Amino acid sequence: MNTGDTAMPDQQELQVQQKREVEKKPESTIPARRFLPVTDIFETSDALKVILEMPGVDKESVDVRVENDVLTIEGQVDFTKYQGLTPLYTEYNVGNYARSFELSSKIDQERIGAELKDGVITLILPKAEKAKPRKITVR
Amino acid sequence: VWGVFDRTFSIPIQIEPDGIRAEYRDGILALHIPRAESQKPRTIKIG
Repeated sequence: MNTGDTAMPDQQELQVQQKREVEKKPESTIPARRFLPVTDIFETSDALKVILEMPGVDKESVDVRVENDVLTIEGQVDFTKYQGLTPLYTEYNVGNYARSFELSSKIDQERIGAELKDGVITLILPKAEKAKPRKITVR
Repeated sequence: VWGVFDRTFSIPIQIEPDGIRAEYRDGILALHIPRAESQKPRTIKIG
């Protein structure tokens, strides 16, 4: 029998997802790193659901705004709980979060809703009435 | 993407298992694992 090293590990290791740092356009005046929150977007018949992961951000330190058809989400992390700690091993870099999305005219900007729970923010972007699929009656 | 998180660590020092504290807030789990008494640095007086 061949006892060579053909055995495959039957359990695949979870891959650590690298956090992407925000590409700065306007330069920051705050000496803190900013990361792009990992995002999933789902579409339903009447809205887009945007889910962003921002661990360590609470309701009071998240800012969601729409300006010039751009939706911006920013989250601030409380750095004080890391003060005085010497890193021995780090995978998870601590930093603030920022991400922007351009909104098409199909989104009703007046009715955007946001909810934050356990460091995950869920945004509901309702479709404008005119953008919803409709059936046209043939006479 | 959603699912379950699972991670195991082996700790290279003696710890105080009864003294472990865990805190979960805003999606971050923090564990405080105290060293065992025998592992703490101590000063030895030269007589």
